Amino acid sequence: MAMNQGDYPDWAELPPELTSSILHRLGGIEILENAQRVCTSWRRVCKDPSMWRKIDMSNPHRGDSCHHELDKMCHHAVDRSQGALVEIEIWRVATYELLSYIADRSSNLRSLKLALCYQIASEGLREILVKLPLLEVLETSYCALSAESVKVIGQSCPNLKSFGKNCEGYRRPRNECDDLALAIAETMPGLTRLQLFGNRLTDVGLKAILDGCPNLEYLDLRQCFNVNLVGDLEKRCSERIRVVRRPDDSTHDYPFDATVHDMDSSEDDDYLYDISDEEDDIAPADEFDDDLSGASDHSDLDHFD
Amino acid sequence: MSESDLAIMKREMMQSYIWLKTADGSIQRVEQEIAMFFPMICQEVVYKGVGTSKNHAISLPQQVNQAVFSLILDYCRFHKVPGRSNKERKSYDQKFIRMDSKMLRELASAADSLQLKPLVDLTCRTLARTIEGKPLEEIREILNLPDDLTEEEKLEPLKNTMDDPGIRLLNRLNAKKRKELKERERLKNVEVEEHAVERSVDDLISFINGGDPKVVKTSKGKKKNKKKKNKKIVSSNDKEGAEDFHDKESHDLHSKQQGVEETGSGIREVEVANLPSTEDDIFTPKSWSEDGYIDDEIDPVMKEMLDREIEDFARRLNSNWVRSRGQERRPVHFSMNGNGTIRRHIGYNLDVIM
Repeated sequence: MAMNQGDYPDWAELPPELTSSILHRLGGIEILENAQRVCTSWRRVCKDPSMWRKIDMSNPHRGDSCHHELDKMCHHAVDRSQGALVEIEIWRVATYELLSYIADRSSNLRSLKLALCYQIASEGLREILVKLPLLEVLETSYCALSAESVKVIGQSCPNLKSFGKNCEGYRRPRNECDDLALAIAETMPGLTRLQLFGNRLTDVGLKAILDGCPNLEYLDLRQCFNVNLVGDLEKRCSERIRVVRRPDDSTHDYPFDATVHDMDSSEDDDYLYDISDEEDDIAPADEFDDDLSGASDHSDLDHFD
Repeated sequence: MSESDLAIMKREMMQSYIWLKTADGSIQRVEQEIAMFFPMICQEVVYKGVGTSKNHAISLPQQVNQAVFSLILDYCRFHKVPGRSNKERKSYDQKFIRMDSKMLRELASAADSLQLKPLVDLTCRTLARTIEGKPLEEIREILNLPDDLTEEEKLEPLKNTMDDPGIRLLNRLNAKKRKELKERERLKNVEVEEHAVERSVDDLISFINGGDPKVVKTSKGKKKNKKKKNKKIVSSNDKEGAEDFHDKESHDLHSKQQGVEETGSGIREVEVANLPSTEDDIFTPKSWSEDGYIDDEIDPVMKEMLDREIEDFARRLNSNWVRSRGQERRPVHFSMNGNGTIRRHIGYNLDVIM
C-alpha cells in the first residue's frame, strides 16, 4: 500500500509508547502541568500508569511552583503509578510524610534519588529506607544523612548496587571524616557504583571502601580533597575500578553547584550554599555531555560496534 | 528446509546488498551491513530469505517512506564507522536532528517501527526539548495538535477528583455557561441586576434555614471545580456548609457584583440546556441542586422531579423576565429553592473559573 506524500501519521496516531517516551522526558511536573493539558490523546498517555513507573520530580528550572503544590503533585504522581513505582527522583520537596507515602505504596521501589531536600532529617530518611528492602539505587545530594543512618540503611537494603551521597566540597578548612566511608565499607558490600562528591574522607576511608566493596566499577571522588590518590592506592583504584573520577576532575557534568568552598580568614564567613545560585547553574544532565556514569558512554552506540 | 537450501541462502546472504521497499513504493538497494542493523530486516533475511533481489524486496513498515528512510540510512552509515569518538558522534547527532518537528516526528515513528533504539532515543529527546517549557498554545501550534480538552480537564490534575464523572459533567456545563454568559452580559440591565441581588439574599436565607430537602441531603466536601488557590470547605453537616456558603456568598455579593449579575441570566441558560435530554444535561440538575456538591446517590425519581421543576421555572422565568420585580417572583424562587441557590452558585463558580 503506497502512501501519499501528504499521508504522514498524525501526532495522535503516533503509537502511545512513543508519545509516552517523548513526554516522559519532560519530567513529572511538566507532564502534570503542561503535557497533560495539551489535547486528549496526550492526556490519555499522561494518565496511563506506565508513564509513572519512573518518576522524575527534579525539574530544576521550575522555580515558580511552591513546595506545597509540588508536594501535592508528587503525591499525585505516585498515585498514578498505581503501586508500580520503580524509580523516583525528587528535588527539594521531599518530606518525611511524602516519602512515607511513597514507601507505603511502592514496595517495589528500586531507585530513590533525593536532592536538596532540607525538610527531612537523617533519622526520618533512615526510617523510610528501612521500608524499602528492594532498593538498588540510593542517591542523596545535599540532604541530611548521617553515617549512622547509612549503616542502618546498608543493613536494611542488601540489594543496594549504587549509592551516592553528595555535598559541598571544602578545600579549606580541611575537616577530615571517615565515618561515612567506613559505614559504607561495612554495610554495602554489593556496591558497583559509588559517588561521594565533596566528601571529607581520607585515604583511610578510601582504603576501607576498596576493601569492603570489591565489586566497585565506578567511583566518583570529585572534590574529596582529603584523598591523596597516589601510589598503591591509586594503582588499586585504576586496576580494579573501571571508572574513577578523581578529586580534581572536571565537574562539567555534575548537575549541582560544584563551587568549591575554600575558606580562609580573609573570606566572608557566610559563603553559604545558596539555593538561588544553584538554580542558575543547574542544567539537566545534558545527554550530549559525557554521561556521569562513565561506563555507559558507549551504551547507545553499542549497536554500531 | 534442506541443507542445500540453507547453503543457497547462506550464499545469498554473502551478497553485499539487501533490497528494501519503502512505504511509498520506492525500491532501494542498501549495503548489507547497514541493512542488518534493523532487527526486522535481519529477521526477514534470515528466516524468510527475502530481500536478496529486486523482486523480493523486503517491505518496510508503513511509517518508513523514502525521505525518512534516506535520513535513517545516513544516520546508520555515519555511526557504523567504528573509529569515531563520542564527541564526533554527538556532534553529528546534533546536526542531524536539525529539522522541523513534523519531520522529527516522522523520523521518530519510522525509527520506532524499525526498532532502531538509538535513533528513537535521539528523536524523542529532541522532541521533548522542543516542547519543554513552552506554553500550551505554542505546543499545539508547533505540533499541530487539537485543543480538544474540556475546561475541567484543563484544570487537572491538582484536584484529586478528576475521575469523578459528575465533576467532569458539571464543569463541562460550567464552561458552556460561561461562554454563553459572556455574550449575555452585554444585554443585562440594572433592573435585572437589582433583582438578582434581592433574589440572592432570599435564597441565602432559605438555604440557611434548610429549605430544600434535596439540598440538605448532600453537603459533601467543597466545590470541586474551584481553582486550587481557594480554601477548602470541608463540612460534615448542612449547617456548617450553609454558613460557609453564606459567608462566601456575602463576600461574593459585595465584591463581585459581576458574578451576581451573571447568575440572573445564568439560570436561563441552565434551563435551556436542561430541556434536551442528553445524558450530560440530565445529570446537571442533580449537580446544580446540590450547589455544586456532587451526590451520586440521588435516585432517578428525584432527578426527574428536579428536571420538571427546572422546566417549570424556566417557563415562568422566561415569561416574567421583563416585568418588574414583585411579589409574584418570590414564590417562584422559594419553591425553587434548590435552583435559586443554584443560580448563585453558578455565578460564583463561573466567576471563580474565569
